[in-house]
Amino acid sequence: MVNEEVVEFNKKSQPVYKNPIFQQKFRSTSATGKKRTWRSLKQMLAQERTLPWPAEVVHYSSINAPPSFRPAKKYSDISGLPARYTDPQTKLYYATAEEFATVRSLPMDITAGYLALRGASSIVG
Amino acid sequence: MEVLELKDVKAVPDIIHAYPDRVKSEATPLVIDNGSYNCRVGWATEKEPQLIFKNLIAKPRKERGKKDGEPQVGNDIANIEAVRFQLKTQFDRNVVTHFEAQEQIFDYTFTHMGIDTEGAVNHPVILTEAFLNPNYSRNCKPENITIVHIVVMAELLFECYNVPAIAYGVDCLFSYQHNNCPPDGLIISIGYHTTHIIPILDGKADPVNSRRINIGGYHITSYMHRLLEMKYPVHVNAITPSRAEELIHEHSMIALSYQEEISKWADPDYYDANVLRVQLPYVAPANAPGLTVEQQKERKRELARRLMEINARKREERLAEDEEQLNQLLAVQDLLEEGETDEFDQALKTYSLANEADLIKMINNLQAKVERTRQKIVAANSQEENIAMEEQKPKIKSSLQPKDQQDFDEWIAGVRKKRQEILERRMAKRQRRQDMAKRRTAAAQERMRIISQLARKEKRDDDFGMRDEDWDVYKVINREGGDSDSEVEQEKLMELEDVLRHHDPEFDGAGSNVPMVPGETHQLHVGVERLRAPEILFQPSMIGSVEAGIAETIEFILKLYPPEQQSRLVGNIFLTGGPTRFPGLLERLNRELREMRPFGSSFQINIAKNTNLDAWYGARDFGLNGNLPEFLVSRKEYEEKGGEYFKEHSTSNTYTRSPDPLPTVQTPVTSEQVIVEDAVVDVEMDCMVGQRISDSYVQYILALVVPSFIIRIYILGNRNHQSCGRTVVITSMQYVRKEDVFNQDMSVKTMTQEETPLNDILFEPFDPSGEIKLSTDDSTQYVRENVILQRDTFFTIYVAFFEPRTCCAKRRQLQVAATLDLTLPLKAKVLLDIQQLSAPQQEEKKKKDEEEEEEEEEEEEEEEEEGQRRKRRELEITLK
Repeated sequence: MVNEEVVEFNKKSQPVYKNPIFQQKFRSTSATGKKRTWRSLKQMLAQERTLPWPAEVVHYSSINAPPSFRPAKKYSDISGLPARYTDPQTKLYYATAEEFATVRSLPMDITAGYLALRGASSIVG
Repeated sequence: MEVLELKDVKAVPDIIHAYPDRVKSEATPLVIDNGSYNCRVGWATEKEPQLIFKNLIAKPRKERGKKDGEPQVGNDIANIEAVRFQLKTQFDRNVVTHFEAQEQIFDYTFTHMGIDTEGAVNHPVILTEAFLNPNYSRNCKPENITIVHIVVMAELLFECYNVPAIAYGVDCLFSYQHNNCPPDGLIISIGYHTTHIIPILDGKADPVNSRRINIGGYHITSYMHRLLEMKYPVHVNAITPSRAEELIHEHSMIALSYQEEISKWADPDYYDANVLRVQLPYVAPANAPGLTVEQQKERKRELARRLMEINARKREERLAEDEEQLNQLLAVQDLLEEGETDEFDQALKTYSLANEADLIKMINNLQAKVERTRQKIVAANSQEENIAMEEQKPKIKSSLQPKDQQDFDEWIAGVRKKRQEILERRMAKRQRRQDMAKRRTAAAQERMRIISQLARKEKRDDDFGMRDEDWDVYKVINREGGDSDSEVEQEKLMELEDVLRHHDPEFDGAGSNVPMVPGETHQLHVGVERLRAPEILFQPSMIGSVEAGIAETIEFILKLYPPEQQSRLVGNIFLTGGPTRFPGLLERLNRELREMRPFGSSFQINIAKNTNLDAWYGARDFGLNGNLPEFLVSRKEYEEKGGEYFKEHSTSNTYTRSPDPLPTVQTPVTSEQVIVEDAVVDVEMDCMVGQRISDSYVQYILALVVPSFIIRIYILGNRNHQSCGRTVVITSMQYVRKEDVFNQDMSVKTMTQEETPLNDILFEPFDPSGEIKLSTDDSTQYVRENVILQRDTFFTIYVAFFEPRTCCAKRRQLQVAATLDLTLPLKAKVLLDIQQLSAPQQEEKKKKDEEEEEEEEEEEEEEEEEGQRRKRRELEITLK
């Protein structure tokens, strides 16, 4: 009963130009009743790599930009000015003494936010 | 001072366009530029795209008792911030991955284009896609993957919408074509998620030397958003991504020389002159509650006065009442004196009194009462006068205030000094508190010293606490730094500041910055951020990306070509994509190129006429082109060749049919393989990178960096140790390709049975249970071999040892040895660490030798030699 309703509902909302049969195939759930999941780009690329491609083929993953060979410049996390100092406590970069006072008065979540923004929040790095 | 008002542009819902008969009958191609930011759609015969909408879907959350709301698409979303957390997109970076969302987008598209034909969309579709779009995104052959129904772009269009034909193209190449560019050039296309730099030689894109930086408009916007959010944590709700986007779109620019430009901002005058003040919407505070202290006091006094008046009135009333009664009673008494007993008795009855004595008692009572009330009234009156007197007191004081300027100055300076002292004391306290929190500071050590001194027991004369000063020591050793008197201090400070605010024209301390302009506290100062956010295009390191910026990547790409081709490329550098509209980008690129190109050489940078829409125009040109049928993939071709198939043209990707996956890894035939060097890696557990997970389960990670190799894993038991009786399981094997490490795409791929054939091979020869029981026989070996991995692989084996409870982790002597056979075709040579071989290993060696009898004797000798060296050599890889 419920199923019929659902089907009806789907049919009603379907635009006329669509293939009605396709819908069931598309939205079908697997035997376990789980919704089908889509592969992320990462999975797609991993899958693509496992195939034995001819040597000359260029892939999405093979045109990644090279890593930067120049040392990363340091900018104050707060003001964006060129930073000469690092606060050993919070690990934030700062440019002037006033900024240092600000850095020290910042709450934890903000300092963590700045670090995460700079991609420096990982423990390893 | 100019204040910028945010526009907060609201999306206007798209109309449903009419479906022109001509278009319908002629089956005009439909051009869809499916970008990860905007989607633009229009008939190939039209001048402009009819639909431009954000490629987003807002799926309303399921609510109980309600039917699923209709998902909103693109411009139907009136307020994007309201549904920010329910937004979905079909894109993962710049590739379409989520096809259910793509289907909804197509529904929206076709409906709004007015298509109403039954059962099919009778128009060829020209669709843009990412440069080097993975084949899977178009379609993937069913046998490759485990999912039964694979729906990807081609299948979606052909089977769901019955589209007659499809042509694919790359957006930036379309844009290049539309701008009538010469056959040689270098495209710099900045998109919403990615930036592509694509060299074009002789009219053809060169994918080998193209590069993609994974930074685009999205990153710039969200960087701006986060920066502002953290700068103004108070306004976190008012700073929305769309407002950040507006600031990026309208008010940001790229600095010609970033270092120079930002150092200017350090100057406060420059800052004031150039900072962008952005007004956030705010509600003007109602005036009523804003009473000054003075007014509040006044009101209180007023209330007190009124209360007193009421009391006084009550008292007077009571007095009058009592007096009245007294008079009556006195009159009654008079009656008795006059001898009119009858009337007297009657009167007594009305007052319900028994006899004359009672009457006299009552009269006395009343008289006393009246007297008391009178006294009270007098007292109250004098009190009022007192209040009036008190009010006059400050006036007297103020008359004592400075008579001449000098006095005044001295007084002000005194107040100022007092304030400064309090502030300094406070700072010192705060500093001390911070220092206390860490162990190695002077403050913390001093504290410990005092505590230890206190703790020292001197039984003889413990007079601690006799003097009041003794108790101050608790203030010193208190981690909070003795904050108990800070409230008093705060009050004092407020008072002083109040005085200064009144009398000192120079004072601008804390608390005095009462906003002059209404809503000033709701203004954002956007200064360096306007330069800082777009700068990540040139310095991705600012957001923690290791990739090179645009300029560096251009240089990198140019170096891949001989000088003659380099100058052909730089002769026409072509910018396209939304973010290339940033003011200053052209000048900046000019500067960067001048720096990297040889002195005096020429180059030319052009920008697309319409950076946003030229891709669509280009695709439309392509659709109008008479050759279009040549490039369309028809339904028949789709059925024959699969969904990934498309026809190449000058603005498309290159088509390579996905190869069939390897059915299984072929076992290398020994005769064909020449062993360069055979090495034994035996790794003692003690020197391995180990991770203790639980008491009974220890996991070891063995990481090797080797070129292509065949791996054999030996697991050896050793009778001299307690290895016997343990169970060894190879829990999993993971591999990371060196390229990935380089690209920071460090996702470790766990080999599951479906994904790679390697694992089957690895596991198959083991017991079905996957367990190995080590026996007392020291020769217990499990040999796995003939696993081929791709070259340059970090290979990680997780081995778990389940130890008997009695065995402590330190005494484990199990050894895992991996034998690496190197295949010639890769011309690689691996020198691996060879350790002193213990008895079981030598046995193992013998066994191995037996296995490899067919191998040349020389190598065996070499092996023996290596074994005898009994020295650890460093892992060293030489690739020819």
